[in-house]
Amino acid sequence: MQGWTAQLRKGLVELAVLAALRQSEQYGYELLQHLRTAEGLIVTESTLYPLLARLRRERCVRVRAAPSPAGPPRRYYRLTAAGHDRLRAMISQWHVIREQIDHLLQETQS
Amino acid sequence: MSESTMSGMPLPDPLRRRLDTHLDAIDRALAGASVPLSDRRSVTDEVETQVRQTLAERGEGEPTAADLEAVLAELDPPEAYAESVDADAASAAASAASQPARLSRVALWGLVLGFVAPVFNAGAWMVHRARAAHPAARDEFEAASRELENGAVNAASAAADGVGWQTVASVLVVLAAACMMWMVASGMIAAVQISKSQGRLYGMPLAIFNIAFYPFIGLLLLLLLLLAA
Repeated sequence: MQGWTAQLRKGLVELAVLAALRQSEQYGYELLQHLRTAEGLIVTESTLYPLLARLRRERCVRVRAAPSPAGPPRRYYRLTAAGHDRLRAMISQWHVIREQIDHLLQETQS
Repeated sequence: MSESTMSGMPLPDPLRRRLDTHLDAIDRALAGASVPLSDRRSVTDEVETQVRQTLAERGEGEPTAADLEAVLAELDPPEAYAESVDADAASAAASAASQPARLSRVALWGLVLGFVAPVFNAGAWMVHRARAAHPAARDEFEAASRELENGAVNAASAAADGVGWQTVASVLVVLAAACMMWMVASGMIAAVQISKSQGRLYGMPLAIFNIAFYPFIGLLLLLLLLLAA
């Protein structure tokens, strides 16, 4: 059961990251803190930062460096057009899957 | 690790070394999972930013070794990054596999431009025919050519009178040749892309057609010329 939950959460991290960046740009640690507030979604730095690096490589996010009051410059992430396209596709898939699962669960209950 | 990227207050040397050891361990774990260098640098920069910000939030003054150890203890261990990358790669591969295969756009554009080439060739031929069928233009062209051959001074006027026809025809021939070469090159590029796409791209017969079409026509013409000779 725990393995299934972990897999489910991991599969949703990319959708959550793209959705969080849809409204405004955020730097890595800020995004991590934001996602940690989402109940049921366990995101840690070892999950988030490699994912952000991959999304940058796949040109779904653009990175802008800005000075930080503490330590190295902060890297602000913003969705690109390709990132918005991917988010739209993922949201569409998410709705389809959720409706199907809800339908199955309702059938089982009745 | 990334001393050069630091813009805030530098850490004391022992703390810097301890942080670098942690970042190097993450880098090694990611390298072991075949993560590209640019991605590894990006991850370690993010971890450093997080550590430095967490240290700054803990209190005023210079951080101590104990502060740093406490911050590092809250982080995922370096090996967790490799596990996370493996899971992410498996998920990305599954996602790519679920995408429907699509026709290679490079091969398609090669075909389209390849068949535009005869249009340019036809245009060049029509320009040539029009010039030949237009006595005034032909005479102007010949007069201009004679002036040029005789070293006439007004070369610019000669060019304006007659060379325009040739320029148009030459440009059309060059465009046709470029389209034909692009068709062959696009076929080669598409064939490589399709073979490396792991089923995400199709259109190999089209790519091979693009590669072979004009070379085949060229060989055929050469054979016909040899037979005619």
